[in-house]
Amino acid sequence: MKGLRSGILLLALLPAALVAQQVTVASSAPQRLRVTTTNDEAARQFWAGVTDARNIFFSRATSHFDRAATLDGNFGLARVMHGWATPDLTTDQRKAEIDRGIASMSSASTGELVTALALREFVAGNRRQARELFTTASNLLPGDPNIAFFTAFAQDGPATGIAALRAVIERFPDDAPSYNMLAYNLWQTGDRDGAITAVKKYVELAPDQPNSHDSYAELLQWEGRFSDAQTHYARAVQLDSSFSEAYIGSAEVLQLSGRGAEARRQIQQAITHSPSKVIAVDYSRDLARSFLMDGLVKEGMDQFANALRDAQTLNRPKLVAQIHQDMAFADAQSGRGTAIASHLAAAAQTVGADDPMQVELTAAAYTVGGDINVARPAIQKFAALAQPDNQYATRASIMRAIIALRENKPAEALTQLAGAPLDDPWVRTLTAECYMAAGNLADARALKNQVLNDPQLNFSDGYNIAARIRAAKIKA
Amino acid sequence: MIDLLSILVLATSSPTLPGPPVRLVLDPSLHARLGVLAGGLRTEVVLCLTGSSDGPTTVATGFLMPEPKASSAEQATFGSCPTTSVAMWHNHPLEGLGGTGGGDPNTNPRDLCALSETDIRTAAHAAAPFVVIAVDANTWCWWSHDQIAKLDAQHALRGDPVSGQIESLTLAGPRPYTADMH
Repeated sequence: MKGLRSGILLLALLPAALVAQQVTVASSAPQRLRVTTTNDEAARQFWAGVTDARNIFFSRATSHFDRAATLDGNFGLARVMHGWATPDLTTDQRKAEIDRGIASMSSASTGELVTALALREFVAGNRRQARELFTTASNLLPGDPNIAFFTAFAQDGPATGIAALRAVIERFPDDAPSYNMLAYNLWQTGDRDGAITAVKKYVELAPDQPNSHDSYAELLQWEGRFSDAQTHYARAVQLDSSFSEAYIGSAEVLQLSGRGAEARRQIQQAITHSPSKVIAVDYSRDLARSFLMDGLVKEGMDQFANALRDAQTLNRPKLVAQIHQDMAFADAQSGRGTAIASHLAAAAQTVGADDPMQVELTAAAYTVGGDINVARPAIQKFAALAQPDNQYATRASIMRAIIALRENKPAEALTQLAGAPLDDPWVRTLTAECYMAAGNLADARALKNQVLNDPQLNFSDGYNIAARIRAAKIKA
Repeated sequence: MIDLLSILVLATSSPTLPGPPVRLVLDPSLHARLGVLAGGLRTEVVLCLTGSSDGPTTVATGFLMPEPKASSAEQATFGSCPTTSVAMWHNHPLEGLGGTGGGDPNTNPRDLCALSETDIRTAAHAAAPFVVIAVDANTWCWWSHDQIAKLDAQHALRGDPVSGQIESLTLAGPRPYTADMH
């Protein structure tokens, strides 16, 4: 027994005897991304750009990346980031810029190169490949919150995104941009309280970033807290007047409050402070939609015409086609219907007659414009594009319901809408019209108000705005 | 019945062996001195903390420096700590990350309060019951030997700080913008 005790004692002492005579420790700093440049200022500009890009301030990020790439012509990752973040590049231009950056990364680290390759796949729309490459970069650089964020950012769908972002936050609890993404993902899944908590944390951690206030403002707007939302939209532009999205947010709140003229002044501010001419064209389209929401058709069409002219000057054929589609639909919805064909034909010249958006807008414009003989085959062509997992089937049903209502067949219209999601603003609007036709004014009014008072107004969402314009005409 | 009795006898007759300490506390004076060191050091340094254990809690009250062999901003080799040490302390300097280092100058000190792969392997084979990492004057974190042994068994590449075992007075990293950058 004594011998056994001695043995145990020896075993207990053994680890101490095996202790090394010297110890080596190493920093966790190399587990973070480092950039290859000999120019301090270029590195500083790069990191400022990364911070801005992760905080959705792409125009300011672009100027930082541009400066970094100018200061060091061989700073490939800066050029790659420039290609990814610049707001008004076409996809082809992005790819070209990223490829140019990658070509100059001969002395870059593996971590830099993998990150660049991931961004190239991301820009090309290859999400799965982007995810795999970001995950590889994350494994190479396990201490880097930027790479961890990008890995989460590349996830598909809010549920997956939430899990990924929570994992990032657990490891990097002060990583402000992760809370921003988490907030929007939580909102999408219906967790409004969680979203507000997350966005508040974002503001707390990044009070100097305009986007933190813009995000908070947007969620407050969506909660219907307009006054609080305006305070934070104002704070965002106070921090940086070139953060033009906050003017648009403010305009949305004003429009929802029935102050269209003031809303349009805010949109004009956004145009004035727009970081690029292409983005200014989009703001002009927003301006047009604001006029149309207030029933000012001529002014709205004039703004679309301005946007069209500017897009043509900028030689942006896809944007030109989109504006022609806007104008075709607006012409139809205004009741004029004289320019539908010419605008659709002009759009088709660029995108082709079989482009899904062109097919949809063709069907929608003729349906809303009332040319049923043209509309029916157009809807049929559009419905052929429908897949179980996309919105085309719903939208085709909506178009058939519109035709049924025009033919004074509200029961048939309701049948067409059966099974369509009632949170769709067009489904609500047309259902309200069906109730009106059946003399059910109370339910019609309730649905109409749901459409008009939905605080999630987004000027760039032409589909939603067109539903609001139609709902406003319901006399319930 | 016999089996049950045996179990009861075993359970009642075995003396309760004290477990290893699971909580590390720095004496205020030591805390202040280590803070000054961590705030000023630009290379990695290893220190052996001395003190005593009272049940599950170890209180570190002093330190000694083992023989330095090599010390740079990102790695250090020192002589090993005496087996009587209560913790092995080393720092991960924040200075020098930006500029030509190519690292993000906005790095949050908290993000460097993590065990590197080398730290995990080293600490797993060290005798000290605790390992402490300090980043700057206000940021330090610790792991018990058991926690490190688990990371080592998992072949972890990094040991993130454990909730309740990190002290960081810095809420967020330094603001990345200055007026001249606009």
